[in-house]
Amino acid sequence: MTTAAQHAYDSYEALVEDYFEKGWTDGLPIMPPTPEKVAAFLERAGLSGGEVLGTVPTREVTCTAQQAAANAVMAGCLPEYFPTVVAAVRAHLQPKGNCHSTTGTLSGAAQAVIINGPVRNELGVASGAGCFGPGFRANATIGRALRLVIRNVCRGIPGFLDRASYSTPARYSFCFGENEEASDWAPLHVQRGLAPEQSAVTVHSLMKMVEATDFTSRDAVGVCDTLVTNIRANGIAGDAWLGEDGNVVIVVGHEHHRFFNEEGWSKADIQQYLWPRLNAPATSATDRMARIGKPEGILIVAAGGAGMGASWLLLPHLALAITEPVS
Amino acid sequence: MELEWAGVPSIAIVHEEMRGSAQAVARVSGCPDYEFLTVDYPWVPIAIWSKEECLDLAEIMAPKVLAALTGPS
Amino acid sequence: MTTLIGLDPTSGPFDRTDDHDFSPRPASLDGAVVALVANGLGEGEIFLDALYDELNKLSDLQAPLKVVKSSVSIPPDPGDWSRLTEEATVAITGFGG
Repeated sequence: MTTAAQHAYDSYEALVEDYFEKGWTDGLPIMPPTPEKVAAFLERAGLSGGEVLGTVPTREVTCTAQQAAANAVMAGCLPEYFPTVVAAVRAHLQPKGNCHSTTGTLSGAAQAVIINGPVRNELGVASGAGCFGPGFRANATIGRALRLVIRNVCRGIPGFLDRASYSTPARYSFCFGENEEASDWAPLHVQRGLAPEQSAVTVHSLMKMVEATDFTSRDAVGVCDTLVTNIRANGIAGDAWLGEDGNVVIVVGHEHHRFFNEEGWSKADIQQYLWPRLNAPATSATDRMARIGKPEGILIVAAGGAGMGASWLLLPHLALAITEPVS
Repeated sequence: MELEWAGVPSIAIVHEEMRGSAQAVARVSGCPDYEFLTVDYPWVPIAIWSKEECLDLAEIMAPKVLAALTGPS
Repeated sequence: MTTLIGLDPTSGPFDRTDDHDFSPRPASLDGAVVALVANGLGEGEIFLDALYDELNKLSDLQAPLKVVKSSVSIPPDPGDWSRLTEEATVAITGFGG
């Protein structure tokens, strides 16, 4: 039983055009959120429509499962994607996911949705070549669903509560999986306390993403030093409210990952190497302290395809990376 | 605005370019008529004011702040 | 003709119905405790300090009640909030950028 207002149309085109007119899309066409489809999504996740997934107190917003389902349908998700969308919404709407600041900021922060566990392969979430970009339905629509929730439910509308000076294409959708099969590295969700067989979503709000290219290093230390140099060139200020729990996400690319595999470096080894070097005092305007409270706050994720000697740095906005199980 | 509701007359200073967003917060907070004092160009937005601009703007804004925070006796 | 039903995907109207009232303004700031609420962005503290000095030329103020939020993301700490609501006559703050 739905409590949402219903609108009747005589064609798909009429519905889509009216949703554009009402400001309910991200500028791209949507799939119609019919009562039947929304009900099917809710059933798939085992949720009632009124289940509260989270709140944004500063915006007087309460997000229900029904609202999330409507937006997931609109994004083009399949019903089986919806439990993952629910986990992403729950993660982002945790207090220290900081929806209000990260979706309202002038800096145009984006939300990266990182998927771990069996659901990656069940849904076909890309974690290899091209995984940040277009071409993969699960990646594209799960990330888009979260952004539509931010727009339609959380009121993150450009010119209204979204004040971004430029915003970013990553706000259409930014979702990828960890390539857990690339090595024996502990997957991100396992590092964060969940069982390997548990599927999970980590949502990380990022101020910007920076490519750390290094074509010349041929060992783990060389790659790590490149990561340090690139992160410190930007700096991470830290925040008293987030305390010692702040994060940076490092997406280690295939060519860099090889060196860690060859030398037997675990994620923990990388964290231990990077942490004191990131937190060392600034030496210049382009070599700044990157304030991360604990080594385990450096989140290492394996993803991407072969060929490019690069890793990606997802530098944080004012939020913690939050991991939620997919149930 | 929460201070205003708690009985403390208050005023927020906003750059003209941010007025829309400030009004959006006021609107969703149930206070659509909340008045802001604004600063416009050539002054740049608040977050990037230099120290010198802070001092100049303080002198300019003080009479406006006084007027906004006081009323007829 | 086929009818297609679409659900409203939003959290409802933007406007709340429980409008709040404004606090009555004092006739002057003579003797007032002016609260300066800084969000920690940019040079906001310098501006608020200077603004207090300028206001003090126009009125006979008491010492300011200054609050610097621990993060731009959150309201003042509970202790600061209590001081603001119990001790301040009026308050001044800035919004975002």
